[in-house]
Amino acid sequence: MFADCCGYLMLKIQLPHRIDSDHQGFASLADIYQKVKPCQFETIQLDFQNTTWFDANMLAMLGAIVESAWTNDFEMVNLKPAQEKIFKKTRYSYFGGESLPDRYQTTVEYRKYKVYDIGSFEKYLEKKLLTRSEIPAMSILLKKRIKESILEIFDNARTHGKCEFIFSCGQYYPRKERLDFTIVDIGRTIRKNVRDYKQENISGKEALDWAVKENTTTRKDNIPGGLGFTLIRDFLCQNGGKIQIASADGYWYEKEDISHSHDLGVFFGGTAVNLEFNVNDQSSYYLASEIKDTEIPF
Amino acid sequence: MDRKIINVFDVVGGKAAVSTEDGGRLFEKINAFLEKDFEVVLDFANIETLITTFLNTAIGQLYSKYDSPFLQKHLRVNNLAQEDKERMIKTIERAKEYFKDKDNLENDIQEAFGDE
Repeated sequence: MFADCCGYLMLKIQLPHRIDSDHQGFASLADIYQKVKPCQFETIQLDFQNTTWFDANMLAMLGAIVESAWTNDFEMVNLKPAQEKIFKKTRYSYFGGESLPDRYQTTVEYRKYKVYDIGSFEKYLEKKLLTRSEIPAMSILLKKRIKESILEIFDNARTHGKCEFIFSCGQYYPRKERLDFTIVDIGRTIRKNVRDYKQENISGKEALDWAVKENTTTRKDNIPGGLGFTLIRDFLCQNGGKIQIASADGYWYEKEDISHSHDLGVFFGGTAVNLEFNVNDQSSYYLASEIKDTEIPF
Repeated sequence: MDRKIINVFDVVGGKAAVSTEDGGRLFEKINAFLEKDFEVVLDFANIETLITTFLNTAIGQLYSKYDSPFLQKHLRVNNLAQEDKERMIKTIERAKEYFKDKDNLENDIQEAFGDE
């Protein structure tokens, strides 16, 4: 921390070499969260001097962190031109909504939504994510499952995060034929919710292990829960995709039906979920046999 | 038994049934007619997106007030997309399990207090 020419306090944060959508990427951004958290009415410089790669979808987490420290002025310095170009293609709000044409349409715009505005979020997914010609032709049902998975995570953040805003951003990786979409809230962490529910002082990693189990929910009211997440896991398993969650000091991921949990190594005061979809998925998502309306077993 | 058809598209105001608030509104409507012993038909025509948070609130919550035989007799669905039926069935199964566990938990608490 040092004073600038006007005597205001300035904090300079050096970003790491890479921010990927992985454990290290989440931990690096959580570290920034920790550094900016105590700051108020200061100038915070995010220095990208050494940063050669930043997964655009991870802007959702950076945006949430910047919002959590909103009394401060943030400056992004030494951004490589190529990086700045990608950030602008996502319309990342730091640039005041300034955008560059996304010729190959590989980014899914950065957005900040009020938690109750799931209707607008749904329209954004439809317009910016699912009706793009650049992503290989996906079946209608695959698109539907992708959209439902993202909406389930959005509503989950609203219900359990008790937060004001939800941040999202996506990136399509043509060579890998993968679509990564990140959703972040700064609110009650999963660890806090599970601790309150179980009345046990468990770690973030243990809380995630509990929360991802089939049909578990921290709800105590008359609305059942715990199903949406199970359906997302089932879908991603069939799709060959991947899910990652970072919350409090815990990190969990699942890929190809194998899940792992780890300590994040640093505390993040919210929840970040990254969904990675295989867009070249030829699976049929139709049911094996038709169910008649009258066969719904109430 | 009188019959009431509830158009889900009309309740949510569009083709996406995704918000908890809309789910709550549908629950209130269904409940109002079930209380008057109507047969309720939920018409899902033109609903293209349906997520569990909506279904949990609209349908799952009914099991806090009514049992399965009652709902089997009083509730029907129409025009539910084939791929959403599995989601509906799982919501119902989950609700039955949730309220069974909740009742068991409440009984356990009552018994525990009774012992004191």
